[in-house]
This record gives sequence, C-alpha cells and structure tokens, in this order.
Amino acid sequence: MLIFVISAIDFHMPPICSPIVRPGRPAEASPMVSKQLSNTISSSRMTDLKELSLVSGKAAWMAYLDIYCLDADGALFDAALLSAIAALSHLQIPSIAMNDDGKIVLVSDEDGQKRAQEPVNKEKRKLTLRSIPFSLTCILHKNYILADPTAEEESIMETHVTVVLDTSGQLISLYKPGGPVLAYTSAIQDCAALTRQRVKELNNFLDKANSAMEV
Amino acid sequence: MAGKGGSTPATYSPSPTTDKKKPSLFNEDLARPDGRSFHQCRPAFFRTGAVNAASGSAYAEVGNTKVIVSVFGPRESKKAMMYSDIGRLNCNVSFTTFATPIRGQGSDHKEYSSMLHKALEGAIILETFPKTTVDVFALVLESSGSDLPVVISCASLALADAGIMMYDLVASVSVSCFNKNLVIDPVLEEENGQDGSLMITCMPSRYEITQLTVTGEWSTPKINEGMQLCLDACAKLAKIMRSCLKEAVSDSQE
Repeated sequence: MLIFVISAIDFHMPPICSPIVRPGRPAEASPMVSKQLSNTISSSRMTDLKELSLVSGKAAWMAYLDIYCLDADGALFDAALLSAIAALSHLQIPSIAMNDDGKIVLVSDEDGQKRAQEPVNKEKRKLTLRSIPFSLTCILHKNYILADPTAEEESIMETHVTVVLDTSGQLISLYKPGGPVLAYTSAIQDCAALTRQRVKELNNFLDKANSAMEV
Repeated sequence: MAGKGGSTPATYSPSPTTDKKKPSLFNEDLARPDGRSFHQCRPAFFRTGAVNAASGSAYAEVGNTKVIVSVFGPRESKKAMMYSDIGRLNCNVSFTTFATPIRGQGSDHKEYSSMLHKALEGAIILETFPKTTVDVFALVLESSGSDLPVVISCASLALADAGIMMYDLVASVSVSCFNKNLVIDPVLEEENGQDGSLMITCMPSRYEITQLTVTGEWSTPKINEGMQLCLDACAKLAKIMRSCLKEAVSDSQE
C-alpha cells in the first residue's frame, strides 16, 4: 500500500548556463548532481516523508524538485543543495479535502460556500525539516586545500572532495570522484572542519532568508 | 454522401440554446484581470550581465513574466556547416518545468526558437563576424503571458551586452483582440481567451519592422490600430532598454 511518495529530484543545466552546454544534449554534470542530491536528501532524513501522506494507503503528495542552474561557475552541487533546502523550507502544502467519490479536491478559502467535505488537512502547512544538510566542495592540489572553487579552478585541478554535514555536525556523505591527488586522513579532516564552519554560515543565511519571506 | 452529385453536404449550425458565450474576461467597468486599462502595458524591468559565463546576458521581468537570455560567441561554427561569408545566428528558447501553472506545459512552444531567430536576424550586422556563429539561448523562468515579445526584447539587450553589432535595439510588443476591444501586452488568462493576436517586433530608432505576426480574424482598420498601439509601446520599451544599457556602462566605469 502506498503511504507516501519520494520526491522526484531533477537538476537541469540549460544552455544559458555555460558555453559548454548545447541544446539537445544534456550536460554531463546534470545527471550526476541529480543523483548526488537525491542520495543526500534521502540519506540525511531531513524530511519525514509520511508528512506527504494524505490518506493512508490511498493518497499522497508527489513533490517535484526541479533545480535550474542559471550560471555554472563551479561547486554546482553545493549551490544545488542549498537551493533545494531553501525551496523545501519555503514549501507550503495546500489544504485539501476528499469528496464523496474519494477524489482529492483543493479547499479554497475564497468561495463563501460552506464546505461540504471535511478537510483532510485543515490548513496550509509547511514540511518539518530537521538536521538540514549543507555541503562544501574543496579542491586538493599538492599540499593545498582550495574551498568553494570556481569553474575555472575546477577545470584546471582534477581532484575535488565534497563533504556534506548536517546542522548537528554529523557526516552525511563524503564524495571524492577519483582524481590524481590522494586524499589523506588529515586532508579529509581539514575539509570537514571547513565544512563545519560553512554549515554555520549557511544555516544563519537560510534562517535570515526564511524569516524575511514570512509575512 | 459527400461524393454523390446533388446531395447537400452535411452542415451544423449551433442552436441559440447550445451556443454558449465565452465567459467575459473583463468586468463592467472595462478593467482587465490585473486591473490595467486596455492600452496599458505591464511594468518592465531589465538588467544586463546576469550570467558571468556568457559573452553577454540579460534578465527581463515584465509583470510576472520572467526571462533570462545568454549570448555566446561569435564562436567557431560547427564542422558540418558550410563556409559562409556572413555570420550565423543560432537561437533556442526553452521553458523551465515550473514556468507554467501545469508542470512542463511550456514545452508546447517549439516554434519560439525560429520566431526569435527571424525577429533578430534583420537587426544584427551578420557581415561583422564571417565564418562564425552567435548563439542566443533564452530560458523562460515564469510564463505569465506575452512570453515571446519579452524573450525577443531581452535577447536584443543580451546581444548588445555581448557587443554584437546591430543596426538598432529590437523591441517587441503584442496585442490581443477581444470582439471590438484591443488589449496591449496580454496576460496568460487573456491570451487563452483571445479572438486574435498581433505581435510586432521593430527597431524603433529606424522605424523598421523585423517581424509581424497576426493570428485570428482582423479587419484592416483594426490591424492598423493594433500596429500603431504596438509601435508606440515598442518606442517606450526601447527607452527603458536603452536606459538599462546606459546604467550598466556607467556602473562598469565606476
């Protein structure tokens, strides 16, 4: 029986974002970032998918998360994850009711008619987000760690490490897709320390943005 | 049967009872869904330099319609293309999946790319970049009516930002026809219920039209009135576009 539906996550790279991307053929990075995002959001357990359930075993919300890259200038995954979290924290689930045929209908407050159906969820509600994940991509070059690289820096240096931590400081994922430079334990720890610092900054930034949006 | 001589072809005339009237978009005091008067355009906002990776780019917001355009090049033409003394223009218009009220509905407008190409081609001095191609890529972030005119105007601004030589900026405006009324810069709701539409793309300084598209039934006086409305609006829009370019230049000098 269907209780909830996992949201479909798509990262799009339209041709406007980079001179490398051409219409008709998708960018190489696009499916990779989509998969990475999907894994991170599901493994972080930041959303309880049961919240998307309307009537147990009968109806659930399907959440589509479409992320568009407008300007590809490095660290695409970091920007995509931040925008995904911002969108989820701003998401409002509309109030709906179930009619006599068992079909789901939106409840509009505008029409003055008395509601015949009892609403399944009484009012617009937000998703509860807990242990929000944030990421930081670093480039490893000789003995140096370069945090948050630009597209130019990424094209020159081949080894990068992406660390994802949640707000409680737990490691959600560590991603190092090959590259000639070996990542020693000390380098990984340094990357994690930089990420921890970045998580605090981004969390404050997100809180400010959310409070500014609330009426 | 239609093939047999002497037999009258089957025709259908709706009876007065079944002839349902189209629901009126306009209320009694002749105001539009968003409260504008018939000959009033939506507020417009333009900004250049939206995408760093591009040679030139622009962002446009007209009412709730939001568009971003990137220009790449002039760059080497594809190997398969034949030699050309003049430059080539390549245009592509795409919609985000969330641009329209129904997810993914924007992909219906496949013809927008060729219409954008035709609208801009006459304004660009193609002789200045032989053997190369200029790519103009547009992305509609939010569709709220009059999408193509906004895309064209924004693309023209992006080309100017990229330093592509043009005869003049290109401005575009559309008009919808409802019975006897002409409404300028229609929103999505109005476009869905229109009897006909007219879109003009022009170079206001030269008073030249690069593209004229008419759909539906129009009388000659109505077309003249619609064209004049569009041309006046294009001239005003071009002023806003010019001031945007001047602002960008003064900002870069500072």
